[in-house]
Amino acid sequence: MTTLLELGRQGKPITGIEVIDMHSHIGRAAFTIPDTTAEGIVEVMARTGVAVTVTTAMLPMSEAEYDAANARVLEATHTHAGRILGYYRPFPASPAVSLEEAGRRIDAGFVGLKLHNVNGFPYTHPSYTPYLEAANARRMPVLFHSWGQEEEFKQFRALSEQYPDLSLLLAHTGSNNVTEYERIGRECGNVYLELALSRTPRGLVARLVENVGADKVVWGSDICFISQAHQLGKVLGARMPEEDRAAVLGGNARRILDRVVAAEEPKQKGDF
Amino acid sequence: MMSTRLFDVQAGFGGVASGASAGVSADDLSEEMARLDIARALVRTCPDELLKDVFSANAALYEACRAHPDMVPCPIVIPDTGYDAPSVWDQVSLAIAQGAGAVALRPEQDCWSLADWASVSLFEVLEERRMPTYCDARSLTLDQVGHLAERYPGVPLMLAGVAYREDRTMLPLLATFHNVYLSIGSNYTVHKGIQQFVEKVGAGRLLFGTGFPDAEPMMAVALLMYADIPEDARQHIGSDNFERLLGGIRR
Repeated sequence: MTTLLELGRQGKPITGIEVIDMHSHIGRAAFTIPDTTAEGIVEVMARTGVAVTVTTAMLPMSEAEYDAANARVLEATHTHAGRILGYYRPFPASPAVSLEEAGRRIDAGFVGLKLHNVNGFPYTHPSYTPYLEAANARRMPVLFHSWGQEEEFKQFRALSEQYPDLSLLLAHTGSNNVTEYERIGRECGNVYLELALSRTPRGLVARLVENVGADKVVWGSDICFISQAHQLGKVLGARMPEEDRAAVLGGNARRILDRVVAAEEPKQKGDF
Repeated sequence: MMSTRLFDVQAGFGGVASGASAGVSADDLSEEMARLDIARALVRTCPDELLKDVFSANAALYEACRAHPDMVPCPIVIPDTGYDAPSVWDQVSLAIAQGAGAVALRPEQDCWSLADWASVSLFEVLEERRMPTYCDARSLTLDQVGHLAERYPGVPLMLAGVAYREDRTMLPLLATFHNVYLSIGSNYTVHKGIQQFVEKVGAGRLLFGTGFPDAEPMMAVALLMYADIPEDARQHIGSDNFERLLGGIRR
C-alpha cells in the first residue's frame, strides 16, 4: 500500500483519508503573494488532496475592513460550498456588541471564530466576550494566533476554563516555548495545538504527538499567507504512525467540526 | 511514474548549536535522504553559528563526504587578505580537488568585508574557476548579492535561506542577474511562488534545497512536488540546474 509520505514524495493528491486544513486566509498581505483568492486556494487543494479548509480574511485594520473581509469569506464559503468553511473575525468594538448580535453575525454562515492579538487587544478583552459566548453555545472552534508568549498562555487557560464547549486552536504551535504549548495541550481538554509555522523545526510534529497525544494536534497551513503544500509536507514527513498522521491531518478536525451545533440545539456541556 | 530526482543544495551536518552537546551526523543526513528519496546533497557544516576555524571544519567536511559518495562538500572560503590563510587560489583548488560543488561565504562571521578593496582577490578566483558560491541570507543581504552579481557576472551565486516575504525583491534580482539562483529550501514557502518564478524568470534559476538539519526536509519536497509547473521544469529545479552548475566548474 502506498503510504501518505510516498504520495507526497510523488506529488500525488492525498487519498484514503480526509485532509482538513484548519487555517487559511484570503486577501492581500504586505508582501508579495502571487494569488490571494479563494479560487487559488481551491486549485492548490485539488493538487494536494485537501478536502476542506476553514478560512478567514487576511488581517483587517478598521471596523469597515473587518466587515468587508468577513463578507468576502462568507462569499467564498458559498462559491466553494463544502470545500471552504469560514471563521468569523470579530472587530474589538467598544462598547461590545450584544450577545444576540454576535450570534446573528456568526450564524450568517460561519463555523467558528478567528482572533489575532496583533491589534493590541488581549483575547480576554470584553469586546470579544459576546462572540466567545456565542461560539461556546455553538460548540465552535476558535483559532487564536499565538506566538508562544507567557501572557497568551494565561489568556488561553482562562478562556479554556470559562468556555468549556469551545475548541481552542492555538495557531503556530512551536513558534516559541514549545514546552508550554505541550503543557497547555495536555492540561486543557479543549485546547488543540495547530501546526501552521513557516520555519518548522525538524521533528516538531512528531514531538508534539508524542508528548501531547495525536488527538490534540490539528493541521493548518496558513495558505495563502504561505504554501499549503509546504505545510502538508511536515506532517507527511514526520516520523510517527500512519494512524496518528491521519488524525492530525483531518480526523481531529473532523471531530471538532462535527461538534458544532446550531445555538438552539441541545448539547452536553464539556462534551469532548 | 518516475519520481523527480532530487539534489538537495541546502543541507548540512556536523555543527553544534549553542546550548547543545551534539549535532546531527552525516549518517543522520544519509538516512533522511534515503527515507525521502533524495539522491544527492551539497553539504555544509551546520549549524555554523559556533564555527570559528573554517579550515578545521572544512577538513572534517571533506572527510565525511569521502565516506558518503552521495554528498558533495561546500566548504567555506575566506579572503587571504589577513596573511593568516592559504591563498584563495589554494583554498579553491583544494576544495575542487576534494570534490566540492560550491563554496560558502560568511563575511560577517569570518570578519571580512565585501568592499571591492577587501574582497576582489577572492571573487576574481571564484569567477575564474566558475565556482558556485553559496550565499546564506543570514550572511549576505539581497542588496549585497545584487552588487556581487553585477560586479562578478561569472560567479554563480546560490542564494539560500531566503524568507517567504522577499519575492518583491527576489523576482527582479533573478530577472536582472542571470548568475543568481534561489534555493527553495527553508524558509521559502510562498503560495504559488515556484509557479510564479517559473513563469516570470524561468525554471532554470531555482534549485531544490531543504534546510536540513534545522527544517523538516519533507516540507521543501512537498513544495516542489505539488507545484503546478511542467514536469520538465520540476526536474530542472529538482537536480538538473545544480548539476549544470557543477559541470561548469573549471577543475
